[in-house]
Amino acid sequence: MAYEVKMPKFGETMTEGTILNWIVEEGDQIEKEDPLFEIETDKASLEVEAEEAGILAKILVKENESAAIGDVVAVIAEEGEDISSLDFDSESSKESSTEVSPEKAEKEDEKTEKVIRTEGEKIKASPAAKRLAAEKDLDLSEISPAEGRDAILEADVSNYIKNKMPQATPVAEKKAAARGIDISSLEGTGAGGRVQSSDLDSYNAQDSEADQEIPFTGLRKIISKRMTQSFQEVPQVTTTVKVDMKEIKELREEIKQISEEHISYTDILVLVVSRMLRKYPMINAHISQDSMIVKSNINIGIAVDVPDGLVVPVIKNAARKGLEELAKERKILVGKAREGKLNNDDLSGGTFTITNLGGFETEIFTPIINQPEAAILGVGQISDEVVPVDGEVKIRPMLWLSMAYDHRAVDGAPAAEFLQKIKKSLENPISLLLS
Amino acid sequence: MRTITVKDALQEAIIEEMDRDENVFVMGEDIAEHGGIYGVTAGLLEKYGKERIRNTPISESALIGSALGAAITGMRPIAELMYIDFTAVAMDQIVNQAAKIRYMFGGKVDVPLVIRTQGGGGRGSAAQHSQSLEAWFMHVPGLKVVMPSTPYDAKGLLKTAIRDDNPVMFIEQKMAYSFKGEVPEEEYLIPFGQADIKKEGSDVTLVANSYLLPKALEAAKIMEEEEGIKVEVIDPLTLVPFDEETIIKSVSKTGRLIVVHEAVKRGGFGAEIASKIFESDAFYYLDAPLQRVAGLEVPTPYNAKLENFAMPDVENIKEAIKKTCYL
Repeated sequence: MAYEVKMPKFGETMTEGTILNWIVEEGDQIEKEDPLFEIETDKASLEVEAEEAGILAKILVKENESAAIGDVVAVIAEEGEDISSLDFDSESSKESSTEVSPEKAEKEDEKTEKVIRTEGEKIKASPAAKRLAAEKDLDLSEISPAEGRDAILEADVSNYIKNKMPQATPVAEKKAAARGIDISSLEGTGAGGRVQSSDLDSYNAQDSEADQEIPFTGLRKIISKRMTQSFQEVPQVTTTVKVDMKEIKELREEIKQISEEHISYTDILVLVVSRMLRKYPMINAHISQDSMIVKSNINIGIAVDVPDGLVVPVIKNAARKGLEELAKERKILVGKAREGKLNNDDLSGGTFTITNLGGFETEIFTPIINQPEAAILGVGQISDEVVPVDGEVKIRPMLWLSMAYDHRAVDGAPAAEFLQKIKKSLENPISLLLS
Repeated sequence: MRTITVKDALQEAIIEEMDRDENVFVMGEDIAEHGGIYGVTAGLLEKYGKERIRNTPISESALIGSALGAAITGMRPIAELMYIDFTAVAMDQIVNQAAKIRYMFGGKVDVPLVIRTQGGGGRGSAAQHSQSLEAWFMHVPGLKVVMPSTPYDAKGLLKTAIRDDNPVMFIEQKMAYSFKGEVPEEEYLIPFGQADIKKEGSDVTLVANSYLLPKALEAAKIMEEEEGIKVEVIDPLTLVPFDEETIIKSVSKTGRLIVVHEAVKRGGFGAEIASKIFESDAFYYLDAPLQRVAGLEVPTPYNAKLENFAMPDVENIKEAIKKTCYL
């Protein structure tokens, strides 16, 4: 049976929620309690988890769209289930939800109906109810006894706590349980004082003595899965060259005089690599176990580190774009990445990835291939070195390039030749004008 | 394990203790040739002779007074007092003498006296032979008060009572002599002041003893089957000394307390247990008013139907369980 994912209610004042981002995609295999999407309420952003396992069949409310409490935002189907018969028409689902909601609202009202007390009237409650209310710092006058009783019992107080003051998000509960932290000891920053995942992270930061277990969720989970898969599946080899960047450095100074666009070394590398990939189409390819697809477009991904991980937005058709256009696009994409605003389009279609660790004074490293691409270029820092030039000792700005390639499709000689050609182009940029 | 009655278990305890210690002896009205009114001492005269199995005149005051005299001069008497109702006749000996002597002599005298007696209704014995008067004795410092229900408890507790150096009111119930239960062949003692959880449960704490313990267990079983209510049934075994800790712990867990006793509700031991709970930390865990299931506040009727009506039964206990769970 297909299962409908509905917009949950977090906190009393919430009437609708906005989906910040979908953590999973249509067609993804979902385990119970996997985070599905992040929502933004009027007070906080929270992760919503799957209540059942299955395949995410359909997303009905897209990112940045809002939905009322109880509206269906996605459908999870059983593996192999034919979902074509299911009615995803948003109109009809809205209709049915409005049919149900007045009743629901009425029920909700009934539940929240308060006992009317005259001023100064003492509240009839069991000692156990009073103790629990005092422990949780609750006002008994806010709590009503269950139907058929006029005294507040312990169960009424715990129901109130459960229904009216959700203590923690499912993710936070899981994290707390894994680390043996008592949720009630935490100050929640979510809606209605709800403890959310970030509260646990900051709690851990305070308590540096304690070991922390941080379950992989969201982006981290995706990175973990993709990196493991690439490392296990792909026989990857890293080859390095050292490039004299004197000419490029001078060229960049000259460009500064004539262009308003700030051109970075990365932009220049995107230009050089994309031009060179045209000549080495076997490296601009998607590779699987039994075949490879040589891609007609050259789309260069740029690894960007963001607070919770790493994303690779893609500059499409880089080989057809000039430096200014490449720089402009890169800035937009990196900006979106830092703000967490990249969409699926920005992140898909890459055919080759460039990753730059030069800012951290790294020179040589072994990047992991961004599957299904054939290669990834690791860029180190440019640093002045003493080098022999034409029998003389010179100081030159030197750059290490480290390229990992998929040896299933690309052999050592063509990979090294490709890297050598990039080196030559960078050392003699005029050659770029020729091809 | 073998199954025997309360009556047989009590006799085994007496025999084992008489064999173990030559100072132990039995005295009472019609306990020798007749074997006692409910047959606990039947056959003991043949086994131990007149010196150790002694009939007494029909004077309860003389019976308890002479047993007390024997106790303070080195013997360990078991005085059988036919009906607890008759303690009224011997009250000066029990309350002013037995309970006080050790204290007033600065601890120089031991009073290893056991007063075995029986009370309660159910047998048409009428108003002067059916009372449950344990609360009278609970009220007097210097007396221990023991009320067993099962054969196992009866034997282990009586042996402990005989070895105790203080006066013990050992209160049996006339309908409970025929209760059957498992009792091991090997010797064992049951310490005073340690309640026994007869059935574990998480929802309601039910304190019951003596004749009503099996009825409490039956009601608990029915309520668990019918309503899913898990009742914890506790037998305090000894009312003095009293195991507060076990009951406080249980009520702190369940938040609900019922006390069941055959004695009339007014001034019964249920009031004492309830007060102990109110005085303890368990108060903060109470989630319902406590319930006392007890005898009606009337002299026990002779008429069987009226007598039954005056005594608590399974239905009364079930009602109390429901009430405490707001059903």
